This record gives sequence, structure tokens and C-alpha cells, in this order.
Amino acid sequence: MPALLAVLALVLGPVQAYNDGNRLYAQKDYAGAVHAYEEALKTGNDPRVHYNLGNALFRSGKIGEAIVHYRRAYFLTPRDHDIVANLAFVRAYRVDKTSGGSSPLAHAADRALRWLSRSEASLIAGVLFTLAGLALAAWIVWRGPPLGFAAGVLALLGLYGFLAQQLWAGEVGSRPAVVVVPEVSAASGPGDEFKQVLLIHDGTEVKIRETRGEWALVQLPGGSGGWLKQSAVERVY
Amino acid sequence: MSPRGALRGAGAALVLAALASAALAAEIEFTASVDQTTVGLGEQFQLVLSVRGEDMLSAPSPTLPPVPGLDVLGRSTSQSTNISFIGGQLKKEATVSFIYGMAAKQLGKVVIPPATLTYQGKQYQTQPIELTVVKAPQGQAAPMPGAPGVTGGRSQIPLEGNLFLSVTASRKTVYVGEPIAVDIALYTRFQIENGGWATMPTFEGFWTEKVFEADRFQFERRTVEGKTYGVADLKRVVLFPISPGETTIKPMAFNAAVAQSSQSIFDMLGSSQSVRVDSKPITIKVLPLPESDKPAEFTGGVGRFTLAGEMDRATTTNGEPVNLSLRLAGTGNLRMIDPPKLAAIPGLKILTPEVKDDVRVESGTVRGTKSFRFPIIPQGDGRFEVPMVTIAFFDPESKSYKKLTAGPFSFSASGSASSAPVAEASGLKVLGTDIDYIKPDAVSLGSMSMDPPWWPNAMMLLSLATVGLAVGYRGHSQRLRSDRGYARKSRSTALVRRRLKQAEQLLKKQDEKGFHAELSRAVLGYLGDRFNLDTSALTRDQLRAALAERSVASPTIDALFDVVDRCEVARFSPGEAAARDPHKLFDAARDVMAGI
Repeated sequence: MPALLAVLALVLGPVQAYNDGNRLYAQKDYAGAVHAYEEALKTGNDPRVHYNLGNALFRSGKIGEAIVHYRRAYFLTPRDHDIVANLAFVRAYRVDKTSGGSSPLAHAADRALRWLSRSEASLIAGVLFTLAGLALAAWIVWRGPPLGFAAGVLALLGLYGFLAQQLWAGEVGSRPAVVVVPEVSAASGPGDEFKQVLLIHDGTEVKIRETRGEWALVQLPGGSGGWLKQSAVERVY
Repeated sequence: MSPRGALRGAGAALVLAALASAALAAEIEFTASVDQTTVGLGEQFQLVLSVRGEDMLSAPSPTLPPVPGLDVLGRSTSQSTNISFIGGQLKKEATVSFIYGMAAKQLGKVVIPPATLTYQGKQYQTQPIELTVVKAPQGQAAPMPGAPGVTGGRSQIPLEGNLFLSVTASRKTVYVGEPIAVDIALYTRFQIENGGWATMPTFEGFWTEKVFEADRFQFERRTVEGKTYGVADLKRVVLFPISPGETTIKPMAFNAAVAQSSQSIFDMLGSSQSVRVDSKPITIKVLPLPESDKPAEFTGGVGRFTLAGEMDRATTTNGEPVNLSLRLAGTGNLRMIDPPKLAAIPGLKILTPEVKDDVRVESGTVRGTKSFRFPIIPQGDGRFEVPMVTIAFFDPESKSYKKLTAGPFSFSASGSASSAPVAEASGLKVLGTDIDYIKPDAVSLGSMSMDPPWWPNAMMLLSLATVGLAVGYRGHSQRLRSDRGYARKSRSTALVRRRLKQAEQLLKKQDEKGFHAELSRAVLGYLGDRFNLDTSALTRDQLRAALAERSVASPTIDALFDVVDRCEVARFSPGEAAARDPHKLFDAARDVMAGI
């Protein structure tokens, strides 16, 4: 019986914490909500928890951390409109206005590919390529035109999944991170003694190019960058 | 204030009054000079009568006749000796200066009459010096420069009690952050020629605000316990203790070059003596600020302050920042005050403030202003309010915390980058934008992995393998149709197996004839399929040659023909069949075929 209770607590603990967080959020106790949601995240990733945590963090004035959790939620469920809307809303609050600068076509392609999450894309690519392979094999043996057509369509759909998966993999591989301190100056080298070259603020999204000890070389979307203490940024994935 | 102008070099006019007539060995030079020829009424100035000569045997003392219109305030002497070897001869030249402190007491022109001196029976005289006394004093009336306390006499005075370094603190018990004025002065009854710090004053444990630092001696006369001293202020600071507890102002030391008053002017060397004077340590008791009722808004201020705040404009457009300036003014540890924390306001981004001090020291206290300028960036349109800002400080006089408030402040923003259009095409009025609300409560939570599953990739590999198999099968079946030899070859194994099976069944039915016929057909048929030969159309020798040509080993060929021969024999002379073992023959046939 105690073992059963322990298992129940393990299963219901995060749910309890998540629901507690929602209650605290409704009472405008955002710090308490942040704590509860973080507790709920200890056992696993659920996009709802990341999303609600992002909201609570934003209400506490922590833009960078909110962006980190919205991006994790988006990574898990990219078709959720709330996540997309809040991520865009919070990004507008940042001090550093880094221009996205991408063309509308590239933006549309990006949105189309990110319609699937990484896991979904991987799944679709795997299943459809497998089916396409089987259809191709059948067509090779029996030469029925519907079989060839099916193989072609399945392969094209599988290619879409494959490209989406590659897009996500590329993003994860670029080691994105977000500045989570109000203001930090980047230096030209990994140490306090180097010249300060760039002042960046909470919520600025960067990519980690290199790490040395407690220092990380970050790059901004515009291409400029510098060395920061790793504690000033939080990795998204 | 300390005396000024007494030793001022600018404007000093050296007046050569008299020169010795001839260059005799025993002759001396006797000159008079003043440091300024235009003096204010009542202002002090210096008259210096100096006697220079080689091998002066005794100190000649000049006589200055009473001067109408001038007061002689005091006299001191200074002496220097210069020794040189010229052409192997020791040359000793001494200069004795008699310094008179004087003050004018009437306006107009005043003439200092010639001073006289008798040396080795000779009379020397200086030229008269004319002074202009003006009404506006060029400096305040001040005590005697140099070392006025020294009586100018020649008697030896003990150092003790007559030369010391005084360090005084305005108070010994203070709160953290409460100012203490510290004066460091050199008290002397000697003439001091120069000096320097042996141990520099350091004030560890205090925030130091420098008030004054001497770059040269400016003595003023002060009487302490009946003794008159020349007092030179060396340094004056205001200290702010940083942490509570007992903190000590460490002893400091000063090296002073004391002019020796010697019995004889012949003292070749050591016309001055370096004396080190040490100060006494001072212990300051620093009281901690009371913790009990310390307000949350306390930012370190100790003293008395006022607070003013203003917003630099009431409207802003396009997300331009507005600046909220908070200005603390008053006396106290202004430099040690941290900026107040402004609460986060939704819709506003408050940046780190720009901090400015404007501090000056007045009569032992530090007075001035400290301002914090917070740039505030609106994140949307609308009317924003910055609530009342509170800064608390500690008032050491009333021993209590006091609160200052400013605001509230408000401004309106328009045209921000992130603002939504006021009205959409539908005619709906948009009041503002905000983040979407949180997701509802959950019954269970997922545990999604940030990494993708691995098995779809494995599945893809499997399907590739299937395609490979299909391609292989397709090639095989096409060749079966187009290549007769390939088809025979691929058929052979199955055929042989069928015939062997048939032969075995016949053997079981005791049909020896049928068995041997089937076995023989199996072997020959196998050969035909295997090597694409029409075995029925070939003679025995032709078959042997064809097999040899296809590199079948001759023992295998022999064994093959042996099987075929025995089958023939068994078929056509059944009587001998009993003598043979058909099972053995079957095994031999199978081995032969496996060997090819």
C-alpha cells in the first residue's frame, strides 16, 4: 500500500504542482507560480507547463527566461497559437531590437516546415519513407502504376518530414540561448580583463559558438558577438 | 583659513641694496629684499636681510632701525652653508638670512631705511626699499610665516613637546555612514625647512572624502597650554565608517627637517636635522544602524536629506524612453547611497539608472546632491503611472529612520513599435494587447522528450533493405526469363532434390529398377542443369571432356561415372542387385552431386 501511494505521488506530484501553479497564477502570485511550475517540470517536459511557466516569468519581469520556456513549449507543440502569440508578444518587450531581416518567402518556408514538431517530423519521415520504400519494392516486383504513384507521393511527404526534422536538428545543433540577466556586457575575450565590446539586455537571443570554462562566445542574429559568463545566458535545448 | 601670500614668490622683488666694495677675502655681501613691494594695509610681508660670505668667523647681526609706518611682528633666522673645493682649497661659504615679519599700518609710500651691519670693523649697509601700501588687502591678516613660534634665539630646545604630529577626530563614536572630520597638523616650535610623509595616512575601513592636502607649509601661530606653536595643516579629511565595530585610524608619521639653532654659525654640516614624528592611533567606535525598524526602502543613506523627483516629459512617441530623475540633496554620506529599487511595472521597461554625485565638503560635513536617472521605455501605448518612490535614510541626530517620497509620476506613450492598431477594420476598438492566458488545469501531464525517437530511422533502414531485396528479386526473375542457362542453373537444385526424393521413395517401395533409373536421371539431369549441357545427346567421352573443360576434378568425374555405371548395371542385370546396397549408392550419388 505505501508503495502504491509513492507511485501515486510520483504520478500526481507534477500534476498537483502544475494545478497549484495555475491557482497561484490566477491569484497573481507569479513568483509562487514560477516555483510550482518549475517543480512540475522536474519529472518531465510538458508543453503546457513550459507555456504557463513562460507566462508567470513574463509577469515577474523575467523576459529572457520566459522566452526560453516559450521556445521549449514551441519546440514540443509548434502548432499551438497561444505559444506563438505569446512568444512574439514577449519578444517585442526586449530592449535589444534585433531585426529578424528574413525575406517573406524564407519566413513562409520556415513556418511551413515548423508546422511539425521535431518528434512528429522524425516520426513522419520514418513512417512515410518506410511506406514509400515498401511501395517502391512492390512496384519493382509487380510494376503496377498505382504502386509507383503511391511510392512517389509517400516519398515526397516523407521528404517534407525529413526537411522539417533537419531544420529542427540544425536549430538544436546551433546551441541557441537567451540572455537571462537584466544587462550584461560582452567582452572581446573569455575574461574580465578583456575589453567590453557589446552591451546586451534581458531576452536577447544568441547562439553559443564556443565555451571555455565559465565563459561562452555568443553570437547575435546580426553576426556581432562577444564573450559572456555562461551564467548570464540559458540554453534553450 | 591658513595664512596666504606670506611666502608668495610671484611679485617678490629682490632688491640688491648693497654690495661689498672690493673683493677682499674677508669681505661679505649684505643684501635686503622684500617678498612684495605693494602690500595691503595690515597685510603681512617679509623682509629678508641676508649676509653671505666666506669663512665668516662670527655671526654678524644686522641692525634694523625703527621703521615709521611699519610694525615688526617677529624675527627668525635661517642659515645655510655651502662647502666646495676649488683648486685644492676648501672654500666655505655661509649665508645667514634674518627674516622679519612686518605689517604696514599706514597707507601710501613707506620706505624701509638701510639696515646696517658691522663685520670685522667694517660697516655694511643695505639700500632703502620703497613700499606701496594700498587699502585693499591682498590677503587676510595672517600670522607670521616661517616658524614664528621659534624665538629666533640660539638656545637648544628639546624636541619633546615642541614638535609633534597632531591627529584629531571630530568625534569618536559614530554610526555607520556618519561623517568624522579628521585634521592632521604639524605643531612645531622650531623652524621647519621641509618635510614629507614617512607613513602616509591611510584610512582603512572608511570612505574618505579629502578636504585639504598641503603641498607646502603654511604656518600659523597657535597657543596651546601657554606655549606658542607654529602650526601647519597637512591634511584634512572627512571619513565615513563602512562597517560597525571598533575601527582604528592608524598612526602616521612625518619626517620634518628641523633647522638646527646652533651656538655658532660655523657649523659646517647639519644645518638641519631630520626628525620623525609619529601620531597616536585613534580608535573610533562605529555603531551599527538599528536593524529593528530598518525600512525596506533603506539604501544606505546616513545624514539628512530631501528628495525631489521629476519626469523629463509627460508624453513620448515611438517607444522613446522617458527619464525619471530622483535627486537626493542634503548632508551625509551621499556617495555611499545606492539607487532605490523601482518595482517592476507591467508595460514598462525600467533600465539601470545613471548615477551622479555632486559633493562638496563644508565645515566638516559633506553636502551636495546625488541623482539617479532611470530611463523608462514604454512597451506599448497608453497612460502609464510610476507609483510613488520611497527612499529611507537614517538620521543620526534623532537616531531613527526617515522616509522620503516622490511621485507618483505619469506619462502617456503613443506610436510604440509593438502597439496594436487602435481600431481594426471591423470597427472593434482595441483597448490594448496582452499575452494569452495560461493553459487550464490538467489531469495528467506528459513527459515529452526533447530528443526525437530513434526507431523511425531504423524503420527507414528496413525499408531500404526491402527495396534492395525487391531490386534483387526483379533482376533474378528477369534473368530467369531471358537467360536459359541461368534459368537451368537456378532450377537445378530444386530438380535434383525432387528426383532424389523420388528415388528414395522408389527405394522404399522396393522398386529397385525404378530407383536406379531415377537416380541415374537425377545425376545426369543435375549435370545438365548445372553446366548447361544436353547430357542425353552426349557420348560418355564427350561428357567427360565437357566436364573436364568446366574444371571438374577428375576423381569427382570418376566417382560420377561410377555411380552412373552402377545404376546401369543394376537396371539391366537385376539379379546382382541384391549383392549391392542401394542405400550406399544413394548416398554416393548425393555426395557426388554435392561435390560438383
